[in-house]
Amino acid sequence: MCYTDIKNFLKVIIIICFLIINNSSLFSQINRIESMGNLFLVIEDEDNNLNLYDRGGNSAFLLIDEPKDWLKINLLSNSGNGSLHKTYEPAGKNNYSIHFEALKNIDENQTFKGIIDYYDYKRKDVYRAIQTNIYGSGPFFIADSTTGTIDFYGPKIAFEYNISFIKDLYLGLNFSYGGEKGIKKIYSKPEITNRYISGQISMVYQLNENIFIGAKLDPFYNYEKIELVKDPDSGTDPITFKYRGFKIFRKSSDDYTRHNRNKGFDVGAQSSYKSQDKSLQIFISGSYFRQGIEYQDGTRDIDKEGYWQEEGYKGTLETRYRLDFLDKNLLFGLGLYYRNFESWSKHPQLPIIFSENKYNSLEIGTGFSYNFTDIGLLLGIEYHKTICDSSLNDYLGNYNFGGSHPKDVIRIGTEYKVNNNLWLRLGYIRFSNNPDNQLNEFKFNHNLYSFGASYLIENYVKIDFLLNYGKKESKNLTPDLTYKETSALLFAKFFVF
Amino acid sequence: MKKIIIWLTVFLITFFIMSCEDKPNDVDRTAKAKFIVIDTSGTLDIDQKTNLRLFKNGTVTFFSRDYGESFKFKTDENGILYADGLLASHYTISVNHQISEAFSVFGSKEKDIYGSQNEVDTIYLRGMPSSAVIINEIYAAGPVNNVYYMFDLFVELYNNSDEVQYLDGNIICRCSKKDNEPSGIITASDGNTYVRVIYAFQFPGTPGGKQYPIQPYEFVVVAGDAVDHRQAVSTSIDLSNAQWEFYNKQSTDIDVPNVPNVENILSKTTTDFLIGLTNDAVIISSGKKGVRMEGTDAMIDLSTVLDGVQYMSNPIFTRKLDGRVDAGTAGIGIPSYSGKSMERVVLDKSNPKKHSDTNNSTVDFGVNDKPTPGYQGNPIQ
Repeated sequence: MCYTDIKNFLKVIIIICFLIINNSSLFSQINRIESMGNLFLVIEDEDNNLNLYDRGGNSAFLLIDEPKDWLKINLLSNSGNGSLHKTYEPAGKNNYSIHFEALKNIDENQTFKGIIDYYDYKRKDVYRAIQTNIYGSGPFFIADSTTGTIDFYGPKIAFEYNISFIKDLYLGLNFSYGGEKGIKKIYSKPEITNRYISGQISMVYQLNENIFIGAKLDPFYNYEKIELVKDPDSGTDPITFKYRGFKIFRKSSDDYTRHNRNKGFDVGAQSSYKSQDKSLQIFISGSYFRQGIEYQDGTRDIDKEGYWQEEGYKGTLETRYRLDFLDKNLLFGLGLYYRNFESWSKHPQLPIIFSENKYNSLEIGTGFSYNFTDIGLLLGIEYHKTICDSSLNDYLGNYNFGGSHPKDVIRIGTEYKVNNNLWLRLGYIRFSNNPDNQLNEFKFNHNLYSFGASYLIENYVKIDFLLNYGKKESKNLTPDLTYKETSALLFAKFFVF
Repeated sequence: MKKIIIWLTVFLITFFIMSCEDKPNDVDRTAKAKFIVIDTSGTLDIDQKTNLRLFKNGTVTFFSRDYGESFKFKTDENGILYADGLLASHYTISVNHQISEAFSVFGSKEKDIYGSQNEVDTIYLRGMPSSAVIINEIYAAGPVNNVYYMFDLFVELYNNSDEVQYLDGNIICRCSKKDNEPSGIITASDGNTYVRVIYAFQFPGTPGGKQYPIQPYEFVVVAGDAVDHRQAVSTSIDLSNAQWEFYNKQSTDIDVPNVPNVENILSKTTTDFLIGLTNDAVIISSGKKGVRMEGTDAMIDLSTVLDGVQYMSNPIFTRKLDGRVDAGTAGIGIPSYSGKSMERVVLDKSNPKKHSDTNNSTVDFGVNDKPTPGYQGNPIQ
C-alpha cells in the first residue's frame, strides 16, 4: 500500500467516524479489550498486562512497559438519551473528544510520554443541578430552579517521565492539568470553571527477573468555581438552593460565587510476578486514599459553607494462568477487588458532623479465554460478582439508610483474525444492578454490545475502529425506564514517526 | 530536567501534607441548651423560692434562620427550659405570651447553640400592649420586568382581633438608621425612645377617632398608586381596588380620584411612598404622639408603635429595627423584580383568622410567589 492509499484510507475512516458521531461508553485506551466486551482479566494484550504500569498506573514502570516509540490519535463521539437516570443526572449527553498521545524513549534509561486532549461534553436536560458532580462527592451542592443543558468543554495536557539512575531501580513522575468551562444555556446561566491538577511520584524496583515491587503517591487538586449573576435582561437575581445533604436546603437570591476546593492523595504499594515460562502472572496492590473538599461561598467576602472528607483502603489481586498442562491455548483469570471508604461532612465553623457515609465492596471476577490458533479465533468469557454495602447517617436532615447493592456482570467477547492485517471483534456485557429497596435506587439491567476492527498497515500504522451500543432497562418499575447510549471511536497508532 | 523533578516533587509532597482535617466527635441535631425565663414587666406572679417572676410551663420557640426550622419547648415548674435535639445553628429564641386581649409579655434572644451548653442563659420578658392592627403583607420587590418597574408596591393592614379597630390618624412610616447607630431605635435628647423614620404618611382623622373603622379580621390595602399596574407591565398586579393610596402633594405622584389618601406629613419628603425592593423596615404608629423632629431628623415615639416589620432578602444586611419592635426578619430570599411578597403566616391552623404576631418577623412571615392584596395567601416560610 502506497502513501497516497494510506492517506485516502485514513480520510475515509475519519469521515465515517464523524458521520457516525453520535455515540458511547467511557473513553478507553485499550480499544481491543473494550471491543471484546472488556475482558480485561482473560485477554492478553500489550496494553493489558498484569504489571505495575497497565494495572498499577505506576509511571516508574513506563520504561519497561513501553520499549518502542509511538504516536496515538483518538477521535471519540458518544451520546445517550433516556429516562433511567438519577434525579440530578442529565437526561442525555453528547460528547466529542480528540486525544493525542505520544511516547518517546529518550535513551535506554529515560522515557517521556505526552498527552493533549480536548473535549466538548453536553449534559442534556439536567434537572436543577448546576455543579459538575452532584453524586459521589460531598453533601454540599447547589441547584437552581430550572432544567437545562450544560455544555462542558476544555483541554487537558499531561506528561509522564521515567528514569533509571541505578540498575533495577526506576523512578517515575507524572503531571496532568485540565481546564474546563461549563455553561448552562438557560437562566440562571451559571458559569462553571474547573481546574484539575494531579501528579505522581513513584518508584519501581526489580527484585529479580520475575518480580517487581513499586510504590507511588498520587496527589491531586481540583478547583471548581460556580458563578451566579443577575439576569442581564431583567435585572433579577438568581434563585439558588444551597443544599447540605439531600434533605436540607436554603434559598439564596443573590448573585454570588461558590468555590469548591478538592484536595487529596492516594498512596500505595504494588507488586507483580511473571513466571519464567510466562504461564503465570500475578498482580497485587494496596493503597490508602484520602480527599477533602472545602466549600466556600462569596464574591467579595468568602464564607465557609462546609467541609467534606473521605478516606479508605483499596486492595487488588489479579492473576492469569495459562493451563499448559491441559491446553496451551487455554487461559484462566481471577480477580479480587476490595474497597472500603468512609466519609463525613462537617459544619463550616463548628466541630459538628452533618453526615457520615460508609461504603465497602468486594468484587470477585473469574473467567477464561481460548485461542483457536488454527482458525484465528479467540473467545473469552468472564463473570464478576460484587457484594457491596453502604450506609448513610444524615444527622442534619434526620435521615439515614443502610443496605446492600449486589451487582453481577457477564462479559463475552471474541476476536477473529481475518489475515495478518485485519482483525474483527465482537463483545457483549450484561450488567445487573440489584440494590436493596430501602436504598431508593433503580434496579436495572444494562446490555452493552460492541463491535471493533483493527487494520495494520505495513506494520507501522494500526487503525482501530470501535462501535458500542448500550441500553439500560429498569426492573420492577411501571412504566419502564430506559437509557440508550452509543459511541464511536476511531483510533490510530503510529509506530514510527 | 533534574530541577523540574525536584520542584514537582516538592509540589506533590506539599499537596500530600495539606489534605487532611480531624474528624469531630459531635454530630448534628444533638445540641442542648438551658434557659431561665424571667418576666420584668411585673405581670407574672412572683415565685416564693426565688423571688423572681418566672415564666412557668410556657412555650418558647427556637427558630433557626440557617435552616428555616422551628423547635418548640416548654419551661418547667421552675421556669427553666431544657432544649434538646437542636441543630447546631444560630437561633432566634422567642416568647410571646398573651396575658389578655390587650396585653402580652414577650422577649427574645439571639444565640449560637451547638454541643451541650451547661450554663443557664436568661431570657427576659417585657410587657407590651397587643396591637390588633398589624402589617399583614408587604409587596415591594417589583414585578418580573426588565425596565426596573417597581411602582406597584403596597402595604396591607389587618385587624387581627374580633373587635372593630380604627385607623384615624395612624401613621405608616419607612424607617431609617444612621451609620454610627446599632439600629434605628434610639434615645432622643428628651430621654425617650424613638424610631427614626424617613417617610411618614398619615391616615386622615384624629388619633383615637372613630371615622375610619377596620372590621374584625378585615384586610386594608394601602397602595403606592391605586391603579391597574398591568397596563404598564403585564406581569404586575391590579391595585385599582385598594382601599387607600399613599399620596404626597410635594411630588409628581398620581392622585387617583375616589381612593382616599394616606398623606405625607414630612415637609422634607418630596417623593411618593417608596421603600427598598429587598431591604427596608416599615412601622405603623397610632399617631398619638405625632412625629418628633430634631433638626431634619424625624422620629416616632416607640410607645406609639403598633407594629413593625424588618425585611431583607439577605440577613447579612444592616437592620433598622431591633427586638423592641421586630426581633426577626421577613422577606429572606425574595429577589428584586421577582413579583414576590412577604405575608404573615397562620401558625394556629385551628384558628386561621388569627395571624401570627410574635414580634418576630422571621417566625411570623412567609413568602408568597404572587402578591395577595386584600386577601390571605399561602406564604411559605
